[in-house]
Amino acid sequence: MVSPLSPVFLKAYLSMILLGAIALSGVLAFLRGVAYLPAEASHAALGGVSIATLVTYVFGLETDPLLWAVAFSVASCLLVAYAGKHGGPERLNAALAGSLAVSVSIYAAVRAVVPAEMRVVMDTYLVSDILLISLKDLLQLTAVVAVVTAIFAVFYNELIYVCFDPEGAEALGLNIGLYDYLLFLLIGLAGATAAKSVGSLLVFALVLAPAATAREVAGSIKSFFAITFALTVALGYVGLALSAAANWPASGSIAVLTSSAYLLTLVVKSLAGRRMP
Amino acid sequence: MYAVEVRNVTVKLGGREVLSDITFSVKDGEFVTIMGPNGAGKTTLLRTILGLVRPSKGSVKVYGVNPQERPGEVRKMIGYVPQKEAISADIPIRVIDVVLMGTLIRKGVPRYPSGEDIRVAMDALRIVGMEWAWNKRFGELSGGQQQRVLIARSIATRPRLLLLDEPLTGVDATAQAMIAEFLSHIKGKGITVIMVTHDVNPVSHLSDKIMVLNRRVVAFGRPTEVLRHEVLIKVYGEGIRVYDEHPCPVVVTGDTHHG
Repeated sequence: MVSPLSPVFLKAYLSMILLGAIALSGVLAFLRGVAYLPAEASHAALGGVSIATLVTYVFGLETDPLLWAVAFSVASCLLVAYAGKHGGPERLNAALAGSLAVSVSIYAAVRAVVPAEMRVVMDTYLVSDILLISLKDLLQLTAVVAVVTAIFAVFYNELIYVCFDPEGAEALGLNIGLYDYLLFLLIGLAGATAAKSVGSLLVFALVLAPAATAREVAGSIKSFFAITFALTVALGYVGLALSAAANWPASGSIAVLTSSAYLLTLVVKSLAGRRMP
Repeated sequence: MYAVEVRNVTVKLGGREVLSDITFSVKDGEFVTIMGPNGAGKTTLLRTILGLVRPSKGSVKVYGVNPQERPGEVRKMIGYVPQKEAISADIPIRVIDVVLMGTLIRKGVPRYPSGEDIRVAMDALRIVGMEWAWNKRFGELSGGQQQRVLIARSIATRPRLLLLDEPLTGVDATAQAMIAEFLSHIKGKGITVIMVTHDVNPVSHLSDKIMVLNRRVVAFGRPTEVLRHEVLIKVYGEGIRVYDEHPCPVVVTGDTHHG
């Protein structure tokens, strides 16, 4: 059994706090009505990492895969925002699906041509474990989360207004196009970071499930954000403890906990609703 | 002085002419009601006055200012109540935060409320009789209560001109009467009001003028001049009924609004 106070676990504890901040992008996505976007953004990161790997393989140029992942996720989210702005929800959803298809196709194509040792790096963006995060990764994640959190704190009200009443906000003089793009950009940054932390397959469970659970119980927008952050970190720590005690995969344990919490909340709410006169 | 002057305005959206050669003016302090069937261009006309839609022909002035040239200046003078359907009511935003939205958008970044902003917002809620709900979720309120909160948001910005898009849609008769009472209060304060509605009856007695719009201005004048069978039949067809009542005729269009 690995000690819960070993450096590997200490890095994971810090990563869970960062993941709690990333999960706030899930709340923004729910409020904006694009709940799938963080997962799509994290899959777009796969496309970026694949291109980075291909550049290294073909030209011998060493580049940082995270930078490519961020660039792809952000570009993908901005493309989706553009489609929504110029074609409404239907084109937005079509762009979401198209972007996901392109990213996954690039990943599959590049994976087929590069050698096995290069595939390992690519695959960590698909399925990863929070215990595998290195000190360099942790510093990079901290930098991205700090930028996202600072932008979010400064433009909190604008982002909420764009989600709640874009027409009224525009009539009051808010540049809703600008803030809508900013919202999608933040989700793009968070999606890439989430892919790096836990792999894009687990983004649904680790980023969206806590936000979905909080949505069922939150009484205000601020509590929606607060509950999401607290749930992600708390269940993350419980998952890490289970992992240490039973030698289970950490990210998998956390994903089971966050998904179970969501299902349990739905069941409890449903039963409580039936008891109401 | 004219609050709004619209001269020969034509608006095309997606290549289709939505408004055609619209000309009218609204004096400062007047209450004007715009009625018309679905797709008549009522909302587009409000958005053109706000400067959110650019006319392909003609000109709009709000208190002498062209909203296309100086949109920021025009929007500071206008309070706008959008259709409820355009709002995501399932977002758990509190009533006080909805009302503060009007004030905060006009502040610089970061837009955090001062004590004075909160006092103004609470005063606006008091005017519409909703101060008790300040900490409630907007989505928990009934349709009529939500409309009153949106009206509070618009009056918290101390507008010279208030534009309302279908504020009576989806609310019961009691709430309609209550909203009409607040609008009467607003009119009493000298604020110019332009309101779009399907159901003119709750506000016809408040209206200085009524416009019947069907992509072009079919009629524009005092309620007793406009609410007549021979005028309304041109837009609503044979099904229209007009009953002579005091102080204003009552109109039964049989037309319903579908959002």
